[in-house]
Amino acid sequence: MSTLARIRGNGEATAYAALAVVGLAAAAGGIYYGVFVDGGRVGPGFLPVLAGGLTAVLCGWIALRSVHGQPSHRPGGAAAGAGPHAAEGTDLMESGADDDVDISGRTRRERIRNLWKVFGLTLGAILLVQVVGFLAAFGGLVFVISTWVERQALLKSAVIAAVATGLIYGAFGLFLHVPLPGGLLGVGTEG
Amino acid sequence: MKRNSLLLTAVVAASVLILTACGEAKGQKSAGGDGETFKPKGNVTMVVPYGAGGGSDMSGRSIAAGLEAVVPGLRINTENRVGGSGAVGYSYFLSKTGDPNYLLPSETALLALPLNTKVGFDYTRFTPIMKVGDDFTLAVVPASSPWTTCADLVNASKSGRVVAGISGVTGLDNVVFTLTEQATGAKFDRVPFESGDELLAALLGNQIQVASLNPGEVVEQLKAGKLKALCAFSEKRYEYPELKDIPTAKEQGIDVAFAQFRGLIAPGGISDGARKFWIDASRKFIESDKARQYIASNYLQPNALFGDDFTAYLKENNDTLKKAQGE
Amino acid sequence: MIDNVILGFQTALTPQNLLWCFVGVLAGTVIGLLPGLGSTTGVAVLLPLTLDFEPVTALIMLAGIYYGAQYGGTITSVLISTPGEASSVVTTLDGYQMARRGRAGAALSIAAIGSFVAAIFSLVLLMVVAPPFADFALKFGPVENLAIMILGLATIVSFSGDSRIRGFAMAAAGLLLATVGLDAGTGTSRFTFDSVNLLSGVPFVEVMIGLFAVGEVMYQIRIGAAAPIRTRFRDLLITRNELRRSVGPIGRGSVLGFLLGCLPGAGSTLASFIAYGVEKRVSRNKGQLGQGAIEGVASPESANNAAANANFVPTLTLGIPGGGTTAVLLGAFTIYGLQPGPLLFQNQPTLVWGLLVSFFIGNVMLLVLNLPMAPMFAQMLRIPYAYLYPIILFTSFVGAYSIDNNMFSVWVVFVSGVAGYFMKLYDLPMAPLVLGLVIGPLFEKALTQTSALGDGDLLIVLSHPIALVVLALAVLLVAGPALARLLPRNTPAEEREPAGV
Repeated sequence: MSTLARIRGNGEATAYAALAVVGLAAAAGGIYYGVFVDGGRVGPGFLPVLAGGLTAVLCGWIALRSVHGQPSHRPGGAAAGAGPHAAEGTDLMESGADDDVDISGRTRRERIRNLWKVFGLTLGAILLVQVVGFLAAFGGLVFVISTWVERQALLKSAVIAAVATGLIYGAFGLFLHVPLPGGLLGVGTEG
Repeated sequence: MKRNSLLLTAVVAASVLILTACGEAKGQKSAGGDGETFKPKGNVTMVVPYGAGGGSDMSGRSIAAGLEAVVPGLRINTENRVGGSGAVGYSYFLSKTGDPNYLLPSETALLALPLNTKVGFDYTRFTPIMKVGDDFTLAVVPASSPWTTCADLVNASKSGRVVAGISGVTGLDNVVFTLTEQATGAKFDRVPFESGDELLAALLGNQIQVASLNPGEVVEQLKAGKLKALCAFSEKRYEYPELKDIPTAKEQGIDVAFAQFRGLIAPGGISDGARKFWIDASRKFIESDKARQYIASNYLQPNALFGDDFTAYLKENNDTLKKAQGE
Repeated sequence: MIDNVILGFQTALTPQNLLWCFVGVLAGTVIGLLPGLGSTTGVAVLLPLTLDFEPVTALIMLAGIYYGAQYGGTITSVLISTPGEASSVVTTLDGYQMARRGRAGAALSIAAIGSFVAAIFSLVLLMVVAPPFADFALKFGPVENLAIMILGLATIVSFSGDSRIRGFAMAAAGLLLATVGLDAGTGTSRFTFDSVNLLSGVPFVEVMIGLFAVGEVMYQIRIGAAAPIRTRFRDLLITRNELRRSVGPIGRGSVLGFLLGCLPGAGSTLASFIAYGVEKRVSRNKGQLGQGAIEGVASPESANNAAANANFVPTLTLGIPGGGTTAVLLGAFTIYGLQPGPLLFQNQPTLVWGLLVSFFIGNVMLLVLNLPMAPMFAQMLRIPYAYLYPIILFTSFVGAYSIDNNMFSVWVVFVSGVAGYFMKLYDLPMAPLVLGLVIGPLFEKALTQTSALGDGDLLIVLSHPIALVVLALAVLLVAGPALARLLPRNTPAEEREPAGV
C-alpha cells in the first residue's frame, strides 16, 4: 500500500497531512508577502514562512509516523491506553463495534448520526438568523434538538427552550443591549 | 403703572413668540408635505466602527447624547460594529445607504482605510454632515532628550540615526513623519507600534527617541515632566493653557501641519431634507455645552465644518494623505 | 501611607459605594458566566450605564465588573469547558477533568480562594511598591517582550505530555492562524481573501468558544451520554488535603502573575500559561497535572488574578493601560473628566485610594459570594445533558455574536466547533493552538520591532541582560526534563497523560 493510500485510510494521518499542506501553502504565501523588507528587517512574510514551515514539517512528520506503524501517541495500541480517555479511545478506533451502547441505549452508529444531525441543525439555525431572527432561530434549535435528536417530551422541551430563550433575551438583549438581528419577523433587539 | 407696563410688554412679547413659533410650526408642516423637511421616524442608530470604550466610541456617544439634548424627542442608540480595523463598521454603514436613521462618528480612518486596503467604500459613498474638530499631533521626546525643537530633531536625523515610533504604517502619526521628511529632507528610522499607549511606554522606557502623539494622549506626561513636546504639527498654536507654549512646526521652519478629524457622517443617498435635518441639528449641537466639554476633554482644536464645507475638507485631506502615502 | 489607606476606607465604605461595588462584582460574575463575554466587553458594555455616577462610584463599579468577570469566567471553564477569556483556557485543562470526576465544587472553591489570595497579595504590593515596579516595567521594551513571548511559547512543552511534538505542531498552526489579517509592520493584508472581516485577524475568543464549547458538545454526543455527574454534598466541598496541596501553586502563581501583570501588554493570559508551565516542572504532583489535579486550577487562577490587579500598576502610576480592560477603564477616566497619568496619585488621592480599597472589599465580597455558590454551580451538571447541550450551543453562539455584533463571529464559532470536534477525535491538543493564536500577534510585533531597532539585526537581544535572563528561563523550561534525567533521582514512571485537552 502506498504511503498516500495509507494516509487516506487513517483519519488522524489525514488530518495531519491536511494541516501540513496548509502550512506549506502558507509558507509559500509568506514568501510572496516578503520575508524581509528594507534590507534585512523582519517583513510581513517572516512569521507565515516560519510558522507555516514548522507546521508543515511537524505535521508531515506525525502523519508519516502514524501510518508507518509507529503511533505518535498511545503507545501499545489504543485499547491498552490508560487514563480517563481509554474507553473513548477504543470507541474512536475502527475496532469499536455496534454493541457498544451508551446509557441511553444508543449504538455507536446512532450517536454518529445524531452528531451529524446536530451539526446540520446548527448550520441551519445560523442560516435562519437572517430570516426569523437570532432568538427564534436558536430557541428553535434548542427545541428541535431536545425533541427530534434527544427524543425528550414535547412539552418539557418546549418549556425549557422558551425559558432559555427568555433568559438569553433578558441577559443579552435587555441587560447588555446587544443588537440581535430580528430577521424578517423583526423579533430582535436590533435598530 | 410701571409694573403693569412691564407685564404688558412681557405678555406681548410672549404672544409674539408663540405666534412666531406657531407660524414656524405651520410652515414646517406644509413644507413636510413637499418632502422638504424630515424628522427621523423611531430610533436612530449611531454605528460605532470600533469597540466600546475607545476614542471613536466616546466621540459617538458624546455626539449622540448632545444631539438628543438639542433635538427634542430624538432617541439615538449606539451600536458597536467592530472588526477589520474599522472596515467592518464602515461596510455595515455602507449597507444602510439611503436610510437616514443611521449615523456614524467618523475620523480619518474613513480616508486612510480605502487608501491602504481593499474595502468596498471611500468617503464619497457617504454623506458628510459635520466635522467637530481637529486632533493634531505633537512631536514628543523623553525629558532627558538633548533636543528642544523640531528643527533639532530634523538636523539630528540628517547626521545620524533617529528612531521614531509610529502607530502602524497607516497611522496618521506616520503621515506626519513622512510629510516632515518630504518638506525637510530629514530621515526617520521607524519602529512600528500599535497604539498611542504603546508609544508612550516606549518613550518613557527610552526604547524610541521620538513619537508624534495627540495632545490628549500626552498632556499628563508633559505636566509631570516625564516627556517634553518639541513642536505641534498644527496650523496655529493650541489655546489650552497647558499647550499654548508649544510652538508650531511652522514657527520652527518646518511647513507641516496635519490633523486627524473627528466628525459625523450619514449614509450615502439620503434625501436633501434628511441631510439638512442632520446638518441643522449638528449646528445646534456644536453650540452646546456637551460639545464644548467633549472638545475640551480631548484637546481638539474646535474647527467645525458642516455639509459641503466638510466634503471639500475631506477631498483636500484625502489628497494630502495620498501624497504622503503614495510615494 | 496609613493616612491614604484611611482616606481610601472613608471613600469606599460609604453605603452608596459599597452598594455599587456589590452590583459591580455581581454583574461581573454574571457576565463572566456568559460565553465570549470577558471583563473587557463587560466593562465596555456597561460603561454607558455609569455615566451619571460620581467618578469614584462609577470606577468602583467598573472595577467590580472587572474582577467579578474573572471569577465568573472560571466557573464555565470548569463546568462546561468553556473559557470566558483566554486567561482561563489553562484552567479548563485540569478544572474540567475535575468536574468530570465529580470534583467541580472543589475546583471552583480553590479557584475562588486562589484568586482571593492572589488579589490581596497583589493589591498590597500595588499600594506599597507600585511606582518602583512601574519604573521597572518600563525597562521592558520590544527586545525584552520578544524574550517573554518566547518563554510563553516554551510553556507548550507542559501541555502535551509525551506527545510533545503534537503540542508544538498545534502551536505552530496557532501562530500561523495568527498571521491572518493586516500586518502591523507594513500594513500588508495577509490571507484575508478580500474579506473585511479578516482584516483584523482571526478573532481568538470566537475560536476558543468554538474549539472548547462547541467542540466538546459535539464530542460528547459522539462518545455517548454518560451518567449525569452525581455527587454527594460532601464531595462538593474542598478537602483539607486539597487545600494543603494548593498552597505552593497559589503562592507561585501569585508572584508570577504580579510580575507579568506589571508589564504593559503581556497580561494575564501569558501569566496563566507560564504559571501552569512552572507548576508542571516543580509541583510534587506534576504527573497528575492535566488529568484533574487541583494544582492545575490553583496556580493559573491565582496567576491570572494577580496579573489582572497588577495591570493597575502601569495604569494608575503612569497612565498606560496594563491590558485590554484597564485600557477601557482609562477611557472611562477621561469621560469622567479625570486625566489619567503620572500625577493621578497626587492629584486625585481620594479617587485612587478609594478605588484601591474598594478592590479589597470587592474581592472579599467575591470570596463570600463564590465559596457558598461553588457547590451550587456544581449542581448545574446534574441537568440531563440532552437539555444542557442545546443550551450551551445557544449561549455560545449568542455570546460570540455579542462580542462584535457581527454574524462573522458566529461563523467563526461554527467552523472552529467543527475543527474542535475533529481535534478531540484525533487527540490534537487545543491549548497550544490557542496559545499560539493569542501570542502570535504579540510575538510578531516584538519580533518586527526588535528587528527594526537593530536595523535588521536580531542579535541585539544579546546586548539586553533582562532579555537574556528570560531566555535562559525558557531554555530551562524546555530542557528541564533532559537536565532532570541527568540527575540520579528515580522518579516513578509517570502516568501517561492524555494529550486531548
